[in-house]
Amino acid sequence: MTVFKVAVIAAARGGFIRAAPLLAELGARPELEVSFIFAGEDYVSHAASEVFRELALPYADVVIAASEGTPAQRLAKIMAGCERLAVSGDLAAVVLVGASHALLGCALASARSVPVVAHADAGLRLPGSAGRISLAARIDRLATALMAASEPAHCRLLDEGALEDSVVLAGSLACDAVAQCIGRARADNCPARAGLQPKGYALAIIESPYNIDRLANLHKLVELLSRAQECLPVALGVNARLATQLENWGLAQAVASLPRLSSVEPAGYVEYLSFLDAARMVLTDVGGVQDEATFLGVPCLTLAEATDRAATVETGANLLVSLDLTLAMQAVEALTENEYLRPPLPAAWDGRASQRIAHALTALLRGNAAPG
Amino acid sequence: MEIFCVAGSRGERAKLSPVIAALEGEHELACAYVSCAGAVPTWDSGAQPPLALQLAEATPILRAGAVLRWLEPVLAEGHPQVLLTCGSSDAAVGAQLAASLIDITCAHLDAGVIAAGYHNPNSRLLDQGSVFLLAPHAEAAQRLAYHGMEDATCLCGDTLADAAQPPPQDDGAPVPCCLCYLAAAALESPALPDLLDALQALAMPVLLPAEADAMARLTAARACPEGARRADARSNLRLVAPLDYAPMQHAVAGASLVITDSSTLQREAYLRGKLTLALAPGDFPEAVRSGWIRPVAMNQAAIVEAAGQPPPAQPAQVEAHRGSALRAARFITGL
Repeated sequence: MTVFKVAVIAAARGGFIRAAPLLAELGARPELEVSFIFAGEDYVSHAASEVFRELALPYADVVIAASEGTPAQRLAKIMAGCERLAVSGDLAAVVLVGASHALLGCALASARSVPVVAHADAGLRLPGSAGRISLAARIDRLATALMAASEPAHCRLLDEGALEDSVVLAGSLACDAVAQCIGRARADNCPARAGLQPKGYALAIIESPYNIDRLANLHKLVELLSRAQECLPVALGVNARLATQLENWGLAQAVASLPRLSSVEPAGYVEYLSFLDAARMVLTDVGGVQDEATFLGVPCLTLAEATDRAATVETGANLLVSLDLTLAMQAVEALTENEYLRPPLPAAWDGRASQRIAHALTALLRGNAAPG
Repeated sequence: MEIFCVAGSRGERAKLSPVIAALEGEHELACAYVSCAGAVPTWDSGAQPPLALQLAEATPILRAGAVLRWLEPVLAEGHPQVLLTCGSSDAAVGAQLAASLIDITCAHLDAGVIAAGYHNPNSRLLDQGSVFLLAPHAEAAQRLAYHGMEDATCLCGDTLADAAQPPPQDDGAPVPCCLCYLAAAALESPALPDLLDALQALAMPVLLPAEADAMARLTAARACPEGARRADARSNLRLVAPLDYAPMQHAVAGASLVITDSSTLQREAYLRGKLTLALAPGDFPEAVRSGWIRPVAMNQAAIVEAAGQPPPAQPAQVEAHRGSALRAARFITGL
């Protein structure tokens, strides 16, 4: 039996979460020799985090770490490291999980010497030129096997001229990770310990620089949180960037004084899922959260003018409200007062994306290896 | 700074130069030129650019990485509105990555071409990562449209047409002679000895400019006798030191036949109305259709036969490309 060497490359927390089920699925196939590659900035703190333990993620076989220097110096170092791996590793395939400059560098470094460059969660695009030049689009363009995250993503890739044979409707790996961990998340019941009633609060996860780093937008965000907590309790997921900017702009006190807003700091992925699953709605600007909420049946209000998660919007699970206070509050009030009719899940969002990717990749490698 | 231009090869410089000339005066411009180890360090006889990098790195990724590191502080300090790249060199890739890290809009000249095949990751990345795409011919524009980039594309024509300087005045009947320039594809081909046999079989002198590494390869391919730099009375091959841009253009203008694997030189020769034998695929379909570029690969018999055929009766359609640089400049200005 021919054994193919496959490297799964991830660069950051979101990529690790989605890589975990894929690594397990690929690793179970005897014809594949799978390695896990870290290509990013700070491996040690990631490896020490709860995420590795919660998702049974193996430690990386190869660490291409670039934590010092300017962004360009770090990217150049990652590209060089990945090129060495691609040239010397006798790899049959690399699978890139995520979309970042580091992964774009890896895609470029692999494209000349690795027969199959696959991109998981492919085809995610913002509308317009921003989507066309996005990191995800550029990685997709370099990839030879595109594992589309959803039906709209699949269509988008074909519209962009990708060969039909190179695109597979795999589904979102985020769903696989949720499926893997939701049982433990429900057993943990973190919201109750935080004094939050199941389906009685809104979870807010805000990470976009557009909303955090611009004072006018941060003001709007705080105003929205203030108005929302008048309708129902709000659990604000605190992250370092948001906390720093609230402090820098003198808004931390205003947020802390909101009577029905509590800050939560989930220790890991399972704890975060526990808060998300029990929420009545989620307000977010994070793509991964939109996927996870849709999969869990939690209505999502996206605080952005556009999203690359078209499947979540098309099914009705996700509403784009931007930072439009009127629109956002109409949605918050409606979701607070009315029963939520859960829409059907997007096609292929059944928690088996990793199986489809593993199947397609194996078939592709066998086909490449076949004589003639 | 409004526009920052990066050229990573002689061809890219040639294509960018007329666009830069058309933009100068209206915009604050800065340029960087990058060349790889072994290449001619001077681009032409004119003034050197304010920024120049001589690369010694061995692989495409290391070269792109070196340019990325080099340009990051330059772009961060000047923060141009537009980075203008051209072609598919590693330098162009490094520059685009540097711009991407600090959110500078990229425009790409010579977009949609597939001289090295669209499997070339550099070509694909540079087109995909640029907000504005300047296509040299209809096929390139159609290719970009096929990949969903129609709205971003301007079919401006081949700016090499504007770069081409007027040929020297004829002083009498033209003397048949051939200019042969060999780039990596030909020099690294196992068929190199066959090619040299074909060149020696031509009934005309063959001028063969070659850099040091090319000279070594040609010598190793046994066609070049000792003292190859001197004209050998027994051979029609004339090995000469590499030519700067302007002398090279004069050599093209003075030749009756051009043989090359360089895509850029194929286009330059066509735009000067010269019959060209293409040793490797280029990307100028209209010239191939017209018969002025004849694909012969590294096939000895095909080279000899194609060289013996007269040029097409229909003159090369060069005029349609005149003004391409101005169209490109207007498009960029419109940004």
